[in-house]
Amino acid sequence: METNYSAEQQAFRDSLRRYLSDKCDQSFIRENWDEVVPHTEELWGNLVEMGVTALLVPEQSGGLGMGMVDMGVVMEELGRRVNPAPVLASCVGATSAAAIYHCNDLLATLADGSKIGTVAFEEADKTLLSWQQPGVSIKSGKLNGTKVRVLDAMAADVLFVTAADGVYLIAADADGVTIEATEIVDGSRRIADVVFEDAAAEKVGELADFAPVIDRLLVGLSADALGAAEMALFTSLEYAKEREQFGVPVGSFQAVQHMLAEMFQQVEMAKAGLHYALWALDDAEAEEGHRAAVLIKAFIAEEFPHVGAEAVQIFGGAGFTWEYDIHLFYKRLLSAELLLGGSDVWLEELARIAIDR
Amino acid sequence: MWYFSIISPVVFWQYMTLCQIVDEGGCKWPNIDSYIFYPSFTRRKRYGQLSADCDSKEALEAFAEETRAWLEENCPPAMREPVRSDDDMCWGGRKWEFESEDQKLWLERMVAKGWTVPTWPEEYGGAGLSKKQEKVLFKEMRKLKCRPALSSIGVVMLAPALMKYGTEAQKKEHLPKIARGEIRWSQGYSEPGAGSDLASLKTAAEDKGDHWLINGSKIWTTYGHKADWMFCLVRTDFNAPKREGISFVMFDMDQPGVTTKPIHLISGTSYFCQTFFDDVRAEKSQLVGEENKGWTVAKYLLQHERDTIAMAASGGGKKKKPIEQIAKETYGEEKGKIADSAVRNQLARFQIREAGFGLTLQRMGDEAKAGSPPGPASSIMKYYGSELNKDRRELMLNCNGMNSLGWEGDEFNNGEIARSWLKSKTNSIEGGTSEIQLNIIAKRVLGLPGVVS
Repeated sequence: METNYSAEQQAFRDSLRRYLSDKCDQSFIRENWDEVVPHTEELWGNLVEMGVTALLVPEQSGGLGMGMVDMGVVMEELGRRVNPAPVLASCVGATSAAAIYHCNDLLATLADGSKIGTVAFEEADKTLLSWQQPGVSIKSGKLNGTKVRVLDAMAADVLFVTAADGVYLIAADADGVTIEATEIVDGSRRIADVVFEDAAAEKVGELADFAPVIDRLLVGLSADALGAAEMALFTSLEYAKEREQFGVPVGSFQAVQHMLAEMFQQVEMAKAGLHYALWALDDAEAEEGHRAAVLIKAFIAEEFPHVGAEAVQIFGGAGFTWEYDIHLFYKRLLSAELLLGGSDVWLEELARIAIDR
Repeated sequence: MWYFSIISPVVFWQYMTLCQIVDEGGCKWPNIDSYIFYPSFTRRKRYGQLSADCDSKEALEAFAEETRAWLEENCPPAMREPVRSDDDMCWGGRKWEFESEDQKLWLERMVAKGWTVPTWPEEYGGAGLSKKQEKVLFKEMRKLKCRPALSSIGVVMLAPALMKYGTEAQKKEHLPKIARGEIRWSQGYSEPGAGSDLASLKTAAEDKGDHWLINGSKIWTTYGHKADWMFCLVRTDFNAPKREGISFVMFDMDQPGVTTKPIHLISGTSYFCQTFFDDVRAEKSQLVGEENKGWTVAKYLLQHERDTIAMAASGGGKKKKPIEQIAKETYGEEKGKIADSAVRNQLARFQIREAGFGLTLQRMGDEAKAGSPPGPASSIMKYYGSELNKDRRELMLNCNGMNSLGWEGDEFNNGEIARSWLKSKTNSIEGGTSEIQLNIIAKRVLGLPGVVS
């Protein structure tokens, strides 16, 4: 169905898929479910080798200079295997910020994977839509305040932080930075609160320029969710063909068939929306890219939890055991729904840009 | 077993308009107001569509210029007015009464050019244009707001089946008349006892050597009372398994023994009929495909019908006030927002689904251009498109508040809101119910075992 991808992208997808299913399938995340940093150096090293960390880094900074359409392939494949590597935080978030703010030295280290970065822009008492008025203050170059739901902060070496008068770059182990992991239902992802107390940071640029970073994160996370949703569908479809009751596969019952057909339809709709968003971030005006990003994030937040829930239902009793994998995909979809703002946030933004006018 | 085939003319008309829109590279959407961000999809760089070698840019530009000049010269101004209703469309046929001299003239001129069916070969009444030239023609027509000169079930539904399964004699006999709008066709598929389970149809064809005698009844025959000929599924073998005893035949409806009776619908209109056959004669020469193999032809044709309904559900071409604007007028505004936040939220929610649908349709269009034939995936579009259209009408009802109740009178635009809402209820029935579409997806796309009965 992915006629819109080039042969190179397809080959890239195939090799990633092969690697992840051979070396890094769901059993991998089960082993690392409770680890503070759930990815291993080996996994990270392999992703570096495959070019994942250099993908969005401009060529002049030692990267591959590719676009979000390529990164979408990576995110989708990682989602399919509920992979814990901090690609969204580092290779999408921090890398995009580093490129926007011309942090060239950092870009080189993000590209070769020797550093992991993340971006901190959400605050507890604020809706994500007002990220341009951060509560984190700055006084004589020192940050004070707290960021929440920071993706993969525990794995990160550096953080981009939105503060009152601009965007700052700070090392994760700098004085005055405390990272407190938040345990969430989805053990395949890590988020943390980051507290700054008189933490000396370097200003890299203005707040307004940060907007594309958020759009890219939204679309990256949506691609991840698409991968997980495809697997939720595929896994439950296979189960429905095998599991027998009343002497026939449960997949021969019309009620079950209609559930699966609906799930399939939801996944297909998202595919087209996602591809459009990836394309728009690469090749369209920023405004169009933003709308497309908002659309797809709202779409997956609205529709995909249903895909996960139905998948669990099709598994029957097995669906709510830890032993079967289906809950891993469901949990991945739940965190994709809510992280970076749920449908309430993005429907509000969509209404603002497309309805209020 | 699967299909239940009826199609409303409104949907059909929307399709006719839409063909032109979607065909233009899949980049323009009828509902521009809610798709303000799509048009720049044309700026695709890396994933551009395949282009044929034959149509050079210069040649197409010259063709566009020629076409524009011809249209300006030949399309009467009245035929550039927006279509207000189905009555403004020209359906042709022996019983057709032209709404105006202009309508007649417009059809004649387009027929003479072969532009009612631009890509058909000239011997069948077409102009032998390439797909790209056709695209240019439609684009120029739209720029000048020209109405389609002819709406025709013959063009959209029968012709593809005839092209694929018809004999040369059948093509020569029927296609030119379809192209010229001389014969209006109806479709005889569903029966009172054969809806979703279409293959259980019982209309009998008795073999009389060079012809059959047909007895029975068809239902949901769109505009059956205005049609001249019918393409019809009949049972030619009552002993074979149900899908293997069906034949696809064509016959003239203007003969004793054919009776049509319009069916009054909940929206107040009557475009569906029940048609009765009492010893109706169908010549053997009018059999399409092989005897008892009519199911294959029927399925092929239905795939086209489903695409038709799905596409039509994506909007319709009439320029209307955006739904957001209507909601603002009904509920008032607060700081530029619709004052009723629940309605505002509903609209946003609808938009994401509409966008998902539109983009998927576009993606399928791209795939079709790249050479993949319409597959069972058209069932998703039929399913989602009709559900979406019902939701759109429901939302329209909400956004108009109490005005939605109006049925007659200018202040209510003759009940357009309520009537469209009621009409939309046909979408998830005609052309195969939503449930049937889900069955098709389950079986043909997802490979699930047959439904246990």
